[in-house]
Amino acid sequence: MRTRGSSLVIALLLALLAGCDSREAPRAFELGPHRGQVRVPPGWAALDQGRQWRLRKGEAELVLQDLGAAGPQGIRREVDRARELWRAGRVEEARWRLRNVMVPRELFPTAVEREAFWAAWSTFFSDAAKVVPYAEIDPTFSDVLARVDALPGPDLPALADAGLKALGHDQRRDVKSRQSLTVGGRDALDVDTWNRLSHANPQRFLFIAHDGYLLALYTARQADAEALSAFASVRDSLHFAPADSARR
Amino acid sequence: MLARSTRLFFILTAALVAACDSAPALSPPETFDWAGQHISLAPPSAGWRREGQSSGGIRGVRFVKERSVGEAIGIGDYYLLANRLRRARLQEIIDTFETFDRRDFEKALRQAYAHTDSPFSPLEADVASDINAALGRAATAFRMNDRDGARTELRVALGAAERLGFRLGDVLDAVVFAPERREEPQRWSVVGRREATIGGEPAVIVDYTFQTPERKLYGREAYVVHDSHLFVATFLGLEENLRVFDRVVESIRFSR
Repeated sequence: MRTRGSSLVIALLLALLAGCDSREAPRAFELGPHRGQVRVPPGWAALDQGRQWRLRKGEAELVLQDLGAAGPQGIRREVDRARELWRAGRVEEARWRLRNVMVPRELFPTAVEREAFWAAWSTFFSDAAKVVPYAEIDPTFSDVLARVDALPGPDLPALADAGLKALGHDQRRDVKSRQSLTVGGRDALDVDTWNRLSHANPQRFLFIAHDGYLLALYTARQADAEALSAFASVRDSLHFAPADSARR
Repeated sequence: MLARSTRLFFILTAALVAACDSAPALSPPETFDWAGQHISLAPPSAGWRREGQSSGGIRGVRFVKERSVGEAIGIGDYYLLANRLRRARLQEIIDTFETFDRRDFEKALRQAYAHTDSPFSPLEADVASDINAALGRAATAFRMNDRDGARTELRVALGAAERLGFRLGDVLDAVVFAPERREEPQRWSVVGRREATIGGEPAVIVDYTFQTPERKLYGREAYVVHDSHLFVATFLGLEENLRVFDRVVESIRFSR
């Protein structure tokens, strides 16, 4: 009897605790190769735009965005995928995929390596009207991949710099601080920026690099108290599905 | 009785000290870099809105007093002078030399040539001539695929650039407050000029007034050079807020 009573009390307590948890239920997301779950803060609306989620509440706005392949590892994955497409006879898709790979010039230690890389790369597009058979293009894929493998792998701060640049960060803004942390079991960098001249208009960014791809969470407009609170809440709620890079 | 008097004395003294110590509060110091030189300063606390300024050859920050008569404190780097310094740009080109192809190199050189118009000092004219001659030789060498020769000439240019330095006396006349540089000069009057020290460097401070139709405004400008960068701090507003400006200027430190 006593045992039954205790179980009832525990069940009631659990039900009460669940009722008190005012947080929204986690929602699944899939942004490019990044898959997982995130909790949208209460009162915020989430808009899925494919490669990015826009979270809005009044004037405040956060963006969770796939920034694509980052660094040699990501470039290699994209080239591998294009190679599979070409092999399957889907040449235009393969070319489209290659055209959308970001290969920053900062990756190359010397002009000689950069020029050699782009000379090899241009072979993919040398005769756009022609469907080049896979057997003809295969050596080019091998050549390009060898050159990609020879590139030095940038660290997370360098990837974050590339991410900031991709998101429009220029000489008008300055990095106030950077903090390394782990988010959902992955290495991440939390970056505060502000206007270079006045130190006004703060913005907040989070960069998570995984498996050669970069995911960013950032305040789309000024990082006021409400946006920062939601930023922290979203950041802390991020969880990733294992081996998500298998689906691309 | 004596103990009571002593206690009263201490209470009165503390009250007097508290009354006199009404220096305006400042925010924690921040380090700015407007044109290649770090400067640290404590901004005014709440009640002053901040905005960027990039005018009159000065790039920096302005703190505008809210709900006032247009009062503002400005601090900035005189970039027209900072742009004359070529050390950092040349060093960057040398450090990234291996990443240049011909087009990149020519573009980088175009941004590295020294100004030759209106030099601030005779030394600047000499240095600019040496830098530009070396960069011309570097461009020729690069075109001839002589990368080692180009690199050597870049080092010659850097050596020349490192000879250049500006002192307050070289540059003060270009920026110092003068009524004749303002619209309606008859409304502006210089009321004082003195030498001072700001951030450990020699400085000059000029006081002036500006007669508006409604009231007299008080102006103060401070000029200081650190590592060949001229920083200009300005105030225009009510007399009571001159002390806010003074405290901000007192907080200036140069980190390198």
